[in-house]
Amino acid sequence: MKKSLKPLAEAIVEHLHGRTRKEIDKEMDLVIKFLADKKLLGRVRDLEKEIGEAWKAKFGASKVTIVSAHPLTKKARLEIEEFAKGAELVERVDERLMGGAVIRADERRIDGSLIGSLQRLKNALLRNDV
Amino acid sequence: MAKKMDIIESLRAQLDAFSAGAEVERVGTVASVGDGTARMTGLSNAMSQEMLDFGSGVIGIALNLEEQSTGAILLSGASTVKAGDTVRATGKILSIPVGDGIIGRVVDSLGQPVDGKGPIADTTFVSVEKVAPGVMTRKSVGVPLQTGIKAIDALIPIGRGQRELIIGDRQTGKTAIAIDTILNQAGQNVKCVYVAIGQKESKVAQIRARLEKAGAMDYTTIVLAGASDQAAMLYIAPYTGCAIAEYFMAKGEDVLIVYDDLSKHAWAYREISLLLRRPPGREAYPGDVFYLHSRLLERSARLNEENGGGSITALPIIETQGGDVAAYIPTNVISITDGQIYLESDLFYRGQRPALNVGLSVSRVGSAAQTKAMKNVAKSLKVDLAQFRELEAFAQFATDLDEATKKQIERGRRAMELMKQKQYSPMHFADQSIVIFALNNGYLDTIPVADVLRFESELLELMHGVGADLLKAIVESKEVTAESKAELEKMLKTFVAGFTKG
Repeated sequence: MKKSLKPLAEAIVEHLHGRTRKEIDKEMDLVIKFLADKKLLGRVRDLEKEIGEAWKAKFGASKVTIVSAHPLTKKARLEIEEFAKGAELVERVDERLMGGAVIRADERRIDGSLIGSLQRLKNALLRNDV
Repeated sequence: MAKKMDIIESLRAQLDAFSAGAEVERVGTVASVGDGTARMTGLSNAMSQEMLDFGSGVIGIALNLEEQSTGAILLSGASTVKAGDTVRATGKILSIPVGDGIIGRVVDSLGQPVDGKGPIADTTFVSVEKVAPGVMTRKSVGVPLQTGIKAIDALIPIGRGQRELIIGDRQTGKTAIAIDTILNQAGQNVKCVYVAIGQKESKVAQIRARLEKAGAMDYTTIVLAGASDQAAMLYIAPYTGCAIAEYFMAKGEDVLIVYDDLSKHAWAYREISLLLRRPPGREAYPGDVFYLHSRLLERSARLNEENGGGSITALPIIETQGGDVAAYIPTNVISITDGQIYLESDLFYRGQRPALNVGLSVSRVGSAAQTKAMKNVAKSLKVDLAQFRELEAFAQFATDLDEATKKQIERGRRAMELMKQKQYSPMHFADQSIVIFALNNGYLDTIPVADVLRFESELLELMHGVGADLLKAIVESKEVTAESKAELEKMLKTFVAGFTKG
């Protein structure tokens, strides 16, 4: 049976979340050596996934994707970074949204785009349940 | 008549009431897709059997809720889904649109019409999966469901709310029994649902044509998941049919549902389960294959008056291989149902059609589901046939038999001949009662076996002509009273005399 890497991932996140890049590199060197000793180097990808899950559990989100109609302002970017501390931030501009943005934080998606609102209006009118 | 301003004001009211606020949706990402199944990362809060929106109108159902991923079956358009696509959880369990207009239509497993007659109007959405009625909401089965087939109505009677399995090898007449039963529901206030699971579409087209010709489509709905459909559609089809039946049962109506056949349903479920990497059990079926059928068949019931008094009678069909009723799926379904109608290839090829093995067939409801007229005549018939079965083999080897034994064998042969019936020729219970009455009271003893069916046909012609009043009395009272019996015996004596001479 495969050994779970969840406890290791949780320990890494707990120990390293406030550290500098240099400190993290030093610690990761030790982690790699540990994995090699335990013959778990082939499961590095699994460890990456578990780190993402652990980060999400601790801070609320591990990856935030923002697709907006126009490039984000500095203020908006700061607010998002505050909302999802330490999360990986991916920004994309899609003019087809017409306005607003679609934010996806791991498994949650908030569609605040104009095209999304129009689609919901269309669905509601077709269903005739407003 | 609506005015222009009514329309404009309504539109404005709807727009005012609409809230364009952003909603938080639960989403995942497709990790892999193939063979009608998809595996997603994310969706950690997905519910079992929740509908998932893959975009572009593709819907799936979440079946595997695992720690790291979610497995789903795709109901349509699997070819448009690719890895990396975003999947949205709809928060709804699979539902289908049902309304009164679904009667007479052919629909697919999602309740969408496929007969080219346009959309079904005035529908409400009902869940495909539902919990079966509880013990306290039920009533015991006591009203007959007439199949119109002599051998069944006399010997293996079915009641409204019963589950009676039709089991046999390929080409033994299983579907024929089901279709004849549907045809016999004309004028009986019974709605019918025929669920075709994995059947050839040409066969379903023929069935539909036959039902239309007989006017049976006026009270029948066909749910079609053909042989070329994906396994996911075959898996859902019986539950869709049951949901349609429950819609009418909830309105206090009686419904007959035919599942043709559950063997293919089990195969489709096995296919889905193996593709979703569920651990295979016996014969590679997943561990919950019993539950697959038990939760379906338990939804067929007779409700008490407080709950509307409606009923669903189920005729599930199982195809055996080489007559093996002890195989996995057949034994599962036999243990769930309230009896089985066992059809044998040997009997079929010998010309005994319907090819019912009366000895192995049973109805656990029994005479509670028979009219008085039929109850009285069926008792003797059962005994005669049972004795004939015992003596039949003996008679092949015996040289000299005593008179009583010979008489028993001759009576049995005539009984077996009388149990033959043409396809698409259901018989009213009153007609059945009369012919079996004639048999039990020895009126066929002097008729050659080869002429028994002709005797029956001419006798019924007489009863529908000169004996119409007597027939009407039996239909209305549902029994052969003492007066009717005397009159019937008189008519039979005269008829037999004429038949023998002629």
